[in-house]
Amino acid sequence: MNSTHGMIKAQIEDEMLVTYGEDFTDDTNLFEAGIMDSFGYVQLVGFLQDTFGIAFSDDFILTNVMVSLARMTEAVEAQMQLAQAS
Amino acid sequence: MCGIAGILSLSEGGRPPATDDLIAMMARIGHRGPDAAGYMRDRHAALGSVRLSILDVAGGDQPIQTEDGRYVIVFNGEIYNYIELRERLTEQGDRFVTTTDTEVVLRAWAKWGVASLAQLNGAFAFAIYDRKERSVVLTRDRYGKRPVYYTQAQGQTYFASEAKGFLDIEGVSFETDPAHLATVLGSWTPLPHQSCWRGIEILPPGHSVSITEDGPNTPQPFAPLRFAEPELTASHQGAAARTRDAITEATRLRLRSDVPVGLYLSGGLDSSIIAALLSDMLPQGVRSYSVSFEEAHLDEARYQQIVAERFGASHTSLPVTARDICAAFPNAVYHAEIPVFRTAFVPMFLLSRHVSDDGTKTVFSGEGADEAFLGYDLFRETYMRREWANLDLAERKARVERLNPYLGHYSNQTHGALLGLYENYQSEKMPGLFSHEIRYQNGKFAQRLLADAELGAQAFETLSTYAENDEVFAGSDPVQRAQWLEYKTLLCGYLLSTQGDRMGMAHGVENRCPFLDPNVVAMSGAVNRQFDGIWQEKAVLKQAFPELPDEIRARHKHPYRAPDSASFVAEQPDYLELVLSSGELARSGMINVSFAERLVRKIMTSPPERISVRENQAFVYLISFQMLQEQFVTRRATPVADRAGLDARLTTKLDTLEAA
Repeated sequence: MNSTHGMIKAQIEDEMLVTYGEDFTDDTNLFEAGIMDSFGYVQLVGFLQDTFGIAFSDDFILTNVMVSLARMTEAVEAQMQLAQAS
Repeated sequence: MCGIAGILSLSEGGRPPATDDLIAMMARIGHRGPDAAGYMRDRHAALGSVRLSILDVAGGDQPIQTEDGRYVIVFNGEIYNYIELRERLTEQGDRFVTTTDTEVVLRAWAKWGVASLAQLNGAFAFAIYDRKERSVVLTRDRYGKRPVYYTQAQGQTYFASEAKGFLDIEGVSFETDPAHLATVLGSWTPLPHQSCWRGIEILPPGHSVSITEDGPNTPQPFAPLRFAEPELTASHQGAAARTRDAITEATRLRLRSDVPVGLYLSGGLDSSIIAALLSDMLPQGVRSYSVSFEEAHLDEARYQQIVAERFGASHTSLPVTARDICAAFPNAVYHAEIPVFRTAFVPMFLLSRHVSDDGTKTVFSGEGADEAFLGYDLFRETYMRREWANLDLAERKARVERLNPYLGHYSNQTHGALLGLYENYQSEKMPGLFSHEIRYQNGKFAQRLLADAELGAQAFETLSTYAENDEVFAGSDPVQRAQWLEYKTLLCGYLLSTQGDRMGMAHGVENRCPFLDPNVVAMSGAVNRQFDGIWQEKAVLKQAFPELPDEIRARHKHPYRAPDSASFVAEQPDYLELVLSSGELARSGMINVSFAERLVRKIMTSPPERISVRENQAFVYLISFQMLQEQFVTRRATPVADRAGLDARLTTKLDTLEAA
């Protein structure tokens, strides 16, 4: 697993009191599993933007709802590539 | 207002009820009736009352029976339309001995039977014993303002205003019902028929239950919740006028009292409306009461003062600190009897003590207005989520910006992230529970406290089934369904009980809620969303009461809260050991110790701004659950009942067995 994935995973574990492999996997819908609430989601989006130096546009966030670790990792990497390309 | 208790042994050869048991039950709920106490007993039933004297102070001692001795009543609460019912009964030949509402209920039942129940406008729970039929009926008001529990042991049926009434009864054990606990953790409150204690029943609001020699029958509804009122064909002005009339009449009816009344003034719109009305109705002015906090984001003292000054109320504000909350928490939890998700009930416990010390026995409050007139943002959020797919980006942002401004993570900087959140909640995932899905998804976090992980999902299935089996719910639109769920869960399961009746009656203070008058609720159903497009919060109410200060009219709904986990972290009370010790956490066998330890560690070591609402809630659930185990289950910290105090005011004894 790459560092982006690992950093996001660690943040979820710390902030949401869960253990990877036990409480969630890459594809677990974190909302439906009761792991992520509105506060946690807002915190996490802030963490992703601050940590990886990216900014999600409203359009992007509406079309890329980051409900799982895998979706978050993809979204961050896509935004980072976009930033590098521009 | 009072407390009631009873022992029923209705079979032919049953063991007669024991006076000592009844007295023990009455002593356990003695706080509900500090003025007088009385009981009756015969071979098949013993009915007790502890009385808070509000009407006919001198002549209203209970129990009361009909002249022929057939019917006997013990009554808790107030019937606000008792004068009108009394007039009708008098016209039909009844002759009254007292001027109490209790006697009106008794005679109405004797004359009209079950048909009398839907005519009662009030807050009540009562038991009527029919000696001829050898049966008892327990009844509870339509919104759940007054409680009544029942259970069976040793071939007898016991009932009491509070579950703690059974604490000293041999054969009644207290064990937390794991399914009920899972419901509380998931949805903040038990369902209306869940007591949280295995084998102990609570009568749902708007129901009565008949008890015969075979035991309790299935409770029957007498006043189903309704929303589909015919829409009012009136102008904005006409709707506002009709709404004002309904609330004014409801307030006038609730002024019927032979003792002074006060007002809980929150600083919000609803209690301000009552302040305005009372200032017109009470020439001597009204005494108003509130709590204030050091924490600026919780404190509403400024608004309370504005309203008190505008309407000439004699106002007292009780400062409540984290230390006060920690000190009172065990006692308040004992009175609540169920695990709780926030600490806001504790200041109400302290406030009722202050009100009682001030010589006030009954207080008005604005409870019920948010459910009736769509005060909570939950209703607007439901509407927005249902329309989400049809809204463009600008409309979505505009809607989100109007929600929950009191929550720190609903600020301008976070609206982008919130768009993503709502994108994920636009379709129903939990059958029937669309409106509350965000709350209930968060409830899954608290359910992780359960050692048995299967219970959480089962609790939501139970809730879905409970809602979808209700005809009114099934026929309602999403916003009305949200209302239905609020009435059936948060209102009766917390606001009217844990934060209302229990905290007030802990110190012999009863509350009166004009917004829970059936006519006001019906009026709200006729005007809601016709005149405000849902996005203008309580527009009809604001138009109906133009005399309210501008500061109050302009305020967004501010939910009443108190300092939560930070209080315990700062004060480190001795009982914190209940959640710090893994041995204590494991004692009940119901808690997932490793998750609980992780939660407690985060709470104890993180700055308050890092603690989410749901983490706060899970922590308060945990510590209140642990405390209830101490008080009710292991009995290591059960408060002592005031038996001597009860004996001193036990003036009415109708004991045919002893006489024989």
